[in-house]
Amino acid sequence: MRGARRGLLVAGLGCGLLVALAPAAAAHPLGNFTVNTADRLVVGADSVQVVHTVDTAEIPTLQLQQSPDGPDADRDGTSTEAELAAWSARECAAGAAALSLVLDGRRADLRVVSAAGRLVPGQAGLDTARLDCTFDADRAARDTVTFDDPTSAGRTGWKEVSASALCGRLTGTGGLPEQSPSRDLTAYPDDLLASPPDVTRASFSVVAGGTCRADGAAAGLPSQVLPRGVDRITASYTDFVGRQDLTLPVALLAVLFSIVLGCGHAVAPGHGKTVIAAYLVGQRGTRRQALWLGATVTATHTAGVLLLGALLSLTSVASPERFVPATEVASGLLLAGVGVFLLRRAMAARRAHPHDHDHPHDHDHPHDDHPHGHDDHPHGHPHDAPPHDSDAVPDDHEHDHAGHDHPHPHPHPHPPAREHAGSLLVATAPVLHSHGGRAHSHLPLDDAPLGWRTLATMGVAGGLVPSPSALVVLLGASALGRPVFGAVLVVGYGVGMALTLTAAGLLLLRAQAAVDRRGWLSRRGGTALRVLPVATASIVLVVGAYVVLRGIATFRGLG
Amino acid sequence: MLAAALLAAGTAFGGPRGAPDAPPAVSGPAPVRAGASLAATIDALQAGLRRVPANDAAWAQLGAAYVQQVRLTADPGLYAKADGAFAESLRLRPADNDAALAGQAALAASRHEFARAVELCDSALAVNPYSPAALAVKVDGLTELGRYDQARTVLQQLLDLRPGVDAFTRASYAQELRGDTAGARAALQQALALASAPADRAFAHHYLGELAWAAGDPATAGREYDAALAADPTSVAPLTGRAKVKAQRGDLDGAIADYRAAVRQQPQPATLLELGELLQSQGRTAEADQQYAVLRATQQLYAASGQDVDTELALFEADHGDPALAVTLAARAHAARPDSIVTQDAYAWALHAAGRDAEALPLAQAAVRTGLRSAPFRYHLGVIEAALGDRAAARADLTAALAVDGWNPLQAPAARTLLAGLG
Repeated sequence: MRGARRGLLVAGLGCGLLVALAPAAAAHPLGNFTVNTADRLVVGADSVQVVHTVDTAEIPTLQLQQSPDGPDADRDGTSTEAELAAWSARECAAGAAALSLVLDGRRADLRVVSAAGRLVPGQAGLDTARLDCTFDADRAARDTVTFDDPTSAGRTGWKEVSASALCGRLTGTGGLPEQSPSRDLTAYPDDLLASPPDVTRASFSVVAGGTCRADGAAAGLPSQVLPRGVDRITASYTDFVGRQDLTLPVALLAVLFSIVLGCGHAVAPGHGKTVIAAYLVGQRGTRRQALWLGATVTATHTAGVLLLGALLSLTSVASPERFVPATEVASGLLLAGVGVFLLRRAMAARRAHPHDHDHPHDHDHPHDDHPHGHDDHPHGHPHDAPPHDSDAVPDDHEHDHAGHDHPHPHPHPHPPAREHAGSLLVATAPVLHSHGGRAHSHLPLDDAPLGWRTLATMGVAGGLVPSPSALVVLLGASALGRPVFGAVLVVGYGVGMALTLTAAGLLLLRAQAAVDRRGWLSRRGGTALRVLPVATASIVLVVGAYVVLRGIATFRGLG
Repeated sequence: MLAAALLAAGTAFGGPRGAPDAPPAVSGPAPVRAGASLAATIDALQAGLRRVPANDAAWAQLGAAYVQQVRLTADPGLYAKADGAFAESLRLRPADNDAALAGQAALAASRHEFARAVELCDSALAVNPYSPAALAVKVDGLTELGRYDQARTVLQQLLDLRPGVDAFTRASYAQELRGDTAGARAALQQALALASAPADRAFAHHYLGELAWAAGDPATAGREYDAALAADPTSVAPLTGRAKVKAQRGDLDGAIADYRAAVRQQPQPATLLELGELLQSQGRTAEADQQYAVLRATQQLYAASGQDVDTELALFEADHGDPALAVTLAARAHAARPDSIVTQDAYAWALHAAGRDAEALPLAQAAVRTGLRSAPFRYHLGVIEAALGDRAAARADLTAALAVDGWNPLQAPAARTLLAGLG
C-alpha cells in the first residue's frame, strides 16, 4: 500500500521547505525529538525471540549523551566502542527487565541474546542513536502470548510491534503485522492515508503445526523454496487461508477458490496442456478420451503434489529444488516415449493407408445383431448414448475405433453421417473412404489403435510436474497448522484442473468437428489430415525432449 | 524537522511570550463525527478515502485534521502528509476549492508563514466568504503579524458566523491582548462549555490556567492545570504549567520532576529554558547547562533547516548565551513580522543584552502597547528604562512585572533587586 501512495506524496511535497528538510526525514519521519521503537516477536517451536530496536532522534540522543549512563559515559564528546558496548549492554538489560512477555499467564524471563548500539550522524551535525537488542525466552508447546513494551511510553515516535511464527500460525493477533513495517526502523513507510503506528502491545495465541522454518529472518510462506515464482493471487490466497478463522463458509469459499485456481493453472500455458491439446487434435480423440485425459492429469497431479507435500513436511531431506526437476525429467521422458511411439505409428499408418485405399467394409448389419453390447464393451467403448438410429442427440454417438480393437468388419449399422459429426474419426472419413455415403474413418489407427494406456501415459506425463501454486497452497496450509485442509484444497485444485482440461478438450473436438463438417480440410485434399498425426507426434516428441533437457538444466544449475 | 515541530508547539502552547494559539478543535471543515476524537476522525477519513479516493472534500478534511494533529503530537512528519492531502484535494478539484485553500492556510500558519497564511485565507474567502476555517486562520495570521485591529474585525465575522470553540478561544486571546483578563476568561469558559474532545477541554483549562497565572493567581492557575491534565493526561503544556506553580510554591523537587517529564515527552525550547533557569537558580549550573546545550542543538537544527527562528531562542541567547547572536536572531524574526509585540519584545531584549538600550526602548514600549498583562514584557521594559535612567518608568514597570509573584526563578529576584536599587 505504501508504494502506490509514494508518487502521490512526492507530488504533494510542493513545499520547498520540507523538501529542503527531507534528507534525514527518511530516517526520522516524526521529527528530531522522537524516540522510535520496533518490537519483532518470532515464535519458534520452543522459544520466543524478541528483536527490540530503538531509533533515537537528534534531541533525545543529545540528552542521552549528557547522561553518565549514555553512549558517551565520560562525556568527552566521543563515544568509544567500549562506551557503546557498555551502553547497549545496559540498555538491553534494562529492556529485558522492562519488556513484558507473558506466556500462558506467566511472565517469561527474557535473556539478552545480543546487544548492539551505535551513533549515526543526523541533522545539523548532531548524532542519532540506534540500539538493537535481541532477547529470547522459553515457551511451552501451547501458548497464549501477551507482550507490552513500556519503554517509550509518553514519547512521541513511531512505535510498532510485529509477530510471526516459525511453525504453526498465530491467531487473534488483531491485525498485527507479520513483518516489521519499517524493516526494524530502517525504512519508514510514507503513506498519506496511514498514521504512524503507535503500537506497543500485542496479544495472540499460537497454533502449532506444520513444518518449522529455520529462523525468523524475513521468512515467508514456503513459496520461497519453490523453483518457480508464485503468482500474487496464490500468495494472497494462501495468506487468506492462513489468516482467517476456519468457519464453514470460509472453508467452502476457500475450496471454491482452490477450484478456480486449478482452472487458472490449467488455462495457463504449459507443456502438459499443449501436448494434450495437440494430441487430441492430431490423434482424433473422442470426448471420452478428453475426459479420461483430464482425469489422469488431475489424479497424477494431485497425487504428486500430495506426495511431495508429505515428503517436504515429514523430512528435511527432500528438497523441492531437486524434486521438481526430477519430475520434469520423468515427465519429459514419458512424453518423448509417447511421441516416439506415436510418430512410428503415424509413419506406419501413412505407409499402410495410401490416399485412395479402399478396404472393403461391409456395414450392412442391423444394430440388433451386434455381437456384443456397446454398453458393456470390455474396453470402455463409449457407446453410452442413445440408440444409433436416434436423431435426438446426435453428438452423443461416438463411434470410435481408437479405444477398442474389435476387428472389421464390425457388425453394427451405421447411422446417418451427421450422427457421427461428434466424432473426429467419423467426420473426417469422407476424405479417406466412403461406405455408401456414410462417413467412417479408421485412419490412422486401423492397424495400431491408440490404447487407453497410451492416453494414461500422456495424462501422467502431463500431471507429473507439481505446479508451484498447488504446492504453495498445500505447504502454506500445513505450515499454518492445517495440513488436512491443505490436502482438501489441493484436491479442489485438481478438480478445477480436470474441469478445465476436459472442457478445453471437448471444445477442441467440437471445433474440429465443425471444421470437418464444413469440409474445409477435404477441399484442400487430405494432405493436412494425413500430415497432422505425424506433426502432433513430432510435437509430443519435441516437447518431451525439451522438458527432459530443462529438468537436466535445472539440476545442473543447482550444482 | 524539529524546527517545524517547535513552531507547531509554539503555536499551540505559546503563552503570553510565545505565539498566540490556534485551538486544537478541527479548524478545517466540520469534524466527521461530533465529539469524535481527532485520532478517530483521522482514522475514519483515511478509511473512507481508501475506499473512495476521489473525494476532494475528504482529502481537505484529512489535511486539516493532520494539521491539528501536529499541534497535539508535535509530529512534523504530519506536515508532509497534510501538504499531500491538500494537494490531492486541489488536484481533484482545482478551482473553487475553499476547503483545501483554508487547509493550506492553516498549514502555513503552523509553519509560522503568517503572511502566506493570510493570502491563502483571502483566496479561500474569495471562493467562499463564509468559510469558518478560513476566517479562523485569518484571525491567527493577522494577530501574529501584529495587525491586531484587522484581526478583531475578522474575529467578529467569525463570531457572528459560527460562535464555536474556534471563535471563543480566539476571542479570548484577543481580549487577553488588550489586558481584559475577565473577558478573556469568560470567552475561554464559553469555549470550554462547547468543547467535548479531551484535547479541546485540556486546551481550554490550560489557558484558563495561563490567564490566572498572568493575573497573579497561582492557586487558580494550579487548579486549571490539574484540570487540563485530568482531561487529557497526555498533554504536555499543563505539565509545565504545574511545574511553574510548584516552583513558585517552593516545591522545587516536584517542579523539576514535572519539567523533566515534560522535557522527556517533548523537549520544547520554552520548557528546556524554564527547567534550565530553575536549575540555575538552585546553583545546579551543570544540569542547567545540559538543558541549554539541548536548546542550542534546537537552534542548530533551525539553522540547518533554513527556517526562520522563533523568538524563544533569541531570548535564550540574550539571557544565557551570545548577545550578538541574540540580536541577529531577533532582528530576523522582527523583520519577518515587525508589528508583532512578540518580536518587538524579543528584539528589544536582545538589543538590551547587546548594550543597545536606546534602540531597544521604542521596541519595548511598542511591545506593551496593546495592554497585554505579561510579566516578562514589563520586566524587559523596566530594565531598559532603568538602564536609560528613567527611574520612574522603570519603577512602575518592574512593579507591574512583580505583580505575578515568582514568575521566573531568575528574573523575578533580579527585578526585585533592581527595584530596590531604584529606591
